[in-house]
Amino acid sequence: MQQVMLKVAGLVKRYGDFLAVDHVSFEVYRGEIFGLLGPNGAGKTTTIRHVMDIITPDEGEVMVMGSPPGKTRERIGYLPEERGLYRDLKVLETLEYLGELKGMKRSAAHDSALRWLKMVDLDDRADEKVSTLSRGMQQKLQFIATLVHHPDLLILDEPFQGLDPVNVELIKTLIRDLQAMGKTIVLSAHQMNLVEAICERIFLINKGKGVLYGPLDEIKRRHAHQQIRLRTSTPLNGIELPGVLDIHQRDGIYLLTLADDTDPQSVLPSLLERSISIDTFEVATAPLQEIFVSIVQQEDPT
Amino acid sequence: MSKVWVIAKHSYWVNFRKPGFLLWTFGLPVLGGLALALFALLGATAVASAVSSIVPEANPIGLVDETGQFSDVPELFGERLQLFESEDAGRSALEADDIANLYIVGADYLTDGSIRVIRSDGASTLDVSREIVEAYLSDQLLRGAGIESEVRTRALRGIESISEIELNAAPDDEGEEEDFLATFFVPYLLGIFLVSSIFVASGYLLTSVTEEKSNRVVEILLSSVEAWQLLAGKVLGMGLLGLTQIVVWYGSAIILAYVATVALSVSGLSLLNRPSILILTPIYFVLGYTLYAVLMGASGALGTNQQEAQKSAGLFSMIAAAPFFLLFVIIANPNAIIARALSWFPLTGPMTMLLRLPFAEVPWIDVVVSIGLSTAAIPLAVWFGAKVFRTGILAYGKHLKWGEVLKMLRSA
Repeated sequence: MQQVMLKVAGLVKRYGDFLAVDHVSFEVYRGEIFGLLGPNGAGKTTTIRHVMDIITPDEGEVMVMGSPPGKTRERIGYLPEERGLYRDLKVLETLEYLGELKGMKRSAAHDSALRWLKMVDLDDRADEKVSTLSRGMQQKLQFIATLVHHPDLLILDEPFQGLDPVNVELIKTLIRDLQAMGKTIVLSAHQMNLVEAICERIFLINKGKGVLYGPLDEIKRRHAHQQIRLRTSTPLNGIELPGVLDIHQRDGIYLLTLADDTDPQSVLPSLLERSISIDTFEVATAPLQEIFVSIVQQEDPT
Repeated sequence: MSKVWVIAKHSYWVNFRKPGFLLWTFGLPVLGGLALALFALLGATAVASAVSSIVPEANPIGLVDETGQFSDVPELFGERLQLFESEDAGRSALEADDIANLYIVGADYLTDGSIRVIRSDGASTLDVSREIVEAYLSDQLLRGAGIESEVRTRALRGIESISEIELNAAPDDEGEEEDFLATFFVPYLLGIFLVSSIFVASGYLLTSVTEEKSNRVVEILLSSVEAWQLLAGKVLGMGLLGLTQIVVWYGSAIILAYVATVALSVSGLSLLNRPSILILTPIYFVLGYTLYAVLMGASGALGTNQQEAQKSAGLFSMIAAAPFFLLFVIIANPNAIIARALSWFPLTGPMTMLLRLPFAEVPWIDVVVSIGLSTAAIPLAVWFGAKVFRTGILAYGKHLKWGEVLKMLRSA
């Protein structure tokens, strides 16, 4: 049985007549990277603010590591989408202060801050003012500010925003390293390729409502279009295969469209029977980007 | 509480290091020292002449004597009184703006005591000019009765100096003569600076809240502390900053006053040693600052930038500054009804008392009521301020109006 680190159950938040979050429920398990996705204004940040006890729900319940939100602030690292730093403060001083606010002693915060600065190659800027750092450096500094106090649960709202490809890779690697260290990570991002690359389960929220929830692989299979991607040196022109409705070649790859009742696995023996050499055989899944866009457009055709 | 203290420490040091604060806090005593040195070097006469060049002398009072008994203006009245032969001559001088008012002492003054006053259109007759005329007439009548000059002068001037001596004090431990510096200038500056330190510290608070909101640090802070802790930490930190300023100013004022007393024989130290000043000043500072700062912090959370935040704080700033607008009324009569009323109202009370205390012994009932009401108002202000702060601080990109905030609070 997996340990639940974060449980959101029937969460409702209204601002006057506007329903920002409408009966949202999901769970995040220990050690996983969980994607909290949705278009702008869908209710992601509002949901996260409930988890951080910045706002209180009108209905429903949030439990963080088995406790109500607010009781576990010291064990959570939060990188908000709307973020900034004290421009006139020194880099190290900033991290020490934020560490202290998470309940650390100044000396412990100092040591931890230096370690993290070294990990992201900012240790030589420790005594400089934040305003002297480049945008990318400030992004990295904000990222490690969420880690100084050694949290168990990390909530990262758009951590790749404003980063160049090199720093995107650095942060991606750091997120994986943190997972390897046993941390649980809730990731909210718009870069679907990055979410696909690092998240195991996702929750998609649109107009305040949960519209998709579960393991990413399963979701992608569920939304696949009954297609197989096949790379072969044998020409497939004119060949008929049971259960295959159409064979189409694009960029050296054959795309086989199957009948609704055809199991993709049953196609493989048919190919082997016809002595077709197979370089790669892949059940095609829909890219997350496509799933995301189609669901959001379904909800709001305009 | 430890997080409140962490925020307080941070707020204190970040703002203490600001050049503006250092200059204002430590530059002022240096300026005071320089002024004292100048006073010592140039002497009191030069300073008095410098002061008189800033504050212009008023026009003399014109007087026409129809009794025929008053012939000249004694030296005692200096330049303040000018006699005219006839009403027409006096009117011409008044039209030419050479005199302030024209008093006409009627021919039957000795029997009916009646006097007419002609004043310029729209001008008013000041009590002080009436006092001068009365003194002049008394002097002239006493002279007519054969009373010699020295006696007449003393009769008119009354007591000019009182030295207080404690029953068992040593012979040389007599009280200093109170002069202009001690009775007006030092209390005036003391009151102004004490009140200004409240505005300075609260101003830093407003700026700090606005900065954290506009640069989005606040969302990170609120993931670590509750909104009330953030507000309380800031209020505490900036309050300590204001107290630092007061301690520096007060300490240097005592040193400067001591130097002035010993080296220049100028009094002022007695005021700073008064128990009511020593004890009540910090109390009123804490009360006034806490009330005002909490409301400033809440106002700061409503704007998206400094300008908008100041607009939101405008109402409270106006109320808190009311004693300043009435400063000269308070100075003229520190125990006037308006001064007492302002002292009792929590938002103006501490400021008014800080301005009143250096000028007079304030009735104890005013002290008790003002401290009591202000203390009672603080929990209300903190409750209201924290709610507004929490509502406004996360509303990015929109200047919340007070009406909207109150509506949001009602529906929350």
